[in-house]
Amino acid sequence: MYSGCASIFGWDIHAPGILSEDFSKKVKPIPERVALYLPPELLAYVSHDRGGRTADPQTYHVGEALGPMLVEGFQAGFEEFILLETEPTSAILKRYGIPYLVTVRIKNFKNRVTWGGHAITVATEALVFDSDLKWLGRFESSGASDAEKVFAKKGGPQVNLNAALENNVLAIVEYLQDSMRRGTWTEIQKETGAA
Amino acid sequence: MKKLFSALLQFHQIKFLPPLWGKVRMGGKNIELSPPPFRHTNWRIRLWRNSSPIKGGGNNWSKALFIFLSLYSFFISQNTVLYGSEVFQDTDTQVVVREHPKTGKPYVSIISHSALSQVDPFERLKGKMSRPDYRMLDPKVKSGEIPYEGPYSSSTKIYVFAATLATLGTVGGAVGLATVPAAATGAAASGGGAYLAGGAAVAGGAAGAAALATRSDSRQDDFIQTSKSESIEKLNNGK
Repeated sequence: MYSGCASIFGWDIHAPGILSEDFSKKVKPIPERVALYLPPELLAYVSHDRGGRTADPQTYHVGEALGPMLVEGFQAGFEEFILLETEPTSAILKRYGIPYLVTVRIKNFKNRVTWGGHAITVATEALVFDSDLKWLGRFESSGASDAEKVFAKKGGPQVNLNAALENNVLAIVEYLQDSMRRGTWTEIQKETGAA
Repeated sequence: MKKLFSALLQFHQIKFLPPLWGKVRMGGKNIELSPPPFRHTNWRIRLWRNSSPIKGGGNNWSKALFIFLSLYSFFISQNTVLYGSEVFQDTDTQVVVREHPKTGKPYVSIISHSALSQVDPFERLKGKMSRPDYRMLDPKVKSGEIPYEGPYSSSTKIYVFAATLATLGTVGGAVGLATVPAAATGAAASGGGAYLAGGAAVAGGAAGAAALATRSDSRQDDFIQTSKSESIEKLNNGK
């Protein structure tokens, strides 16, 4: 019943799901072959966090936008990008000569709606494996966007959500590039700030 | 094929299968089979005659040996993995090229052979659009100053009144409609919302229509609000 009410009373927020021009200025591709596996639960992730007791009901279609943005981010970050649409196995990785497999899951989605503004934070966890499916590294990434008078603008909450997701994708790709260049994987947090 | 192979073996009175390589004596002759460098390359066969004379039937034996070795090689090759220098496990996958749903940029995708995975997971999201400009999030920037073509929505507050309100039939009876900015028509409406400037359509609705109105107070919030009326009879039929 709640979801039915939210559909006629409240905000149904679908982000554009595409990276901005700034992303291509910040990220340059490196010559690596990387496969990305997106679990079904990531693509279906939806949040009903209102961000405040007095706020209107809101529905954020997070996974719907994050999936294409991750694909685009990895396309921009790695010269040989492969999307793995089937569950990964060591045999698949070896057959296609894939040295790195990355899988991402959404760890947390935070929303804060006040009279002053609207802040969204998306936290993800990424796991990196080698071709033997041995774990190389695990890291958390966080992307946030905090803006004022968001709901007053046409497309405001959508763009705000998109900005938070883009910051998260940027954090993931930059961390992967740094680790591949160095050849070391450490459990650290990489966070990019608010818009 | 197996029956023919076993018949040839019996013809030459061979009681065991010859080794893959090495010296073999068959039908009174010594045969040397050289091991191939790779499993899928051709076999090298050298024949040499021993000192004892070969007694009759030499031509038929040669033909039979040739047939035997051909069949044997063929039989073995059916179970041979014909890759270069490595053996890859069959993964039941295939490679396809897909296009990004928003940018159209192609990328490589590995899918399984099952029918379900043939569908692009982003099929329903396809629709190219311009990239967002985050400058529009600046509070100094007013709505519409920076073009935006992506999806948007607005809050829709729906209040259903009883049928007695609908019988009023006039716009003035619907509280708050007069304050709804007419300029917001279309711009504020979401994809499926109908915006009624002035509420005239409410009065023109069928008997039993309910007036749905929302009050706009520009002093308290910056929401873009819409009004929508829908017949109560229609709502009841939908239950």
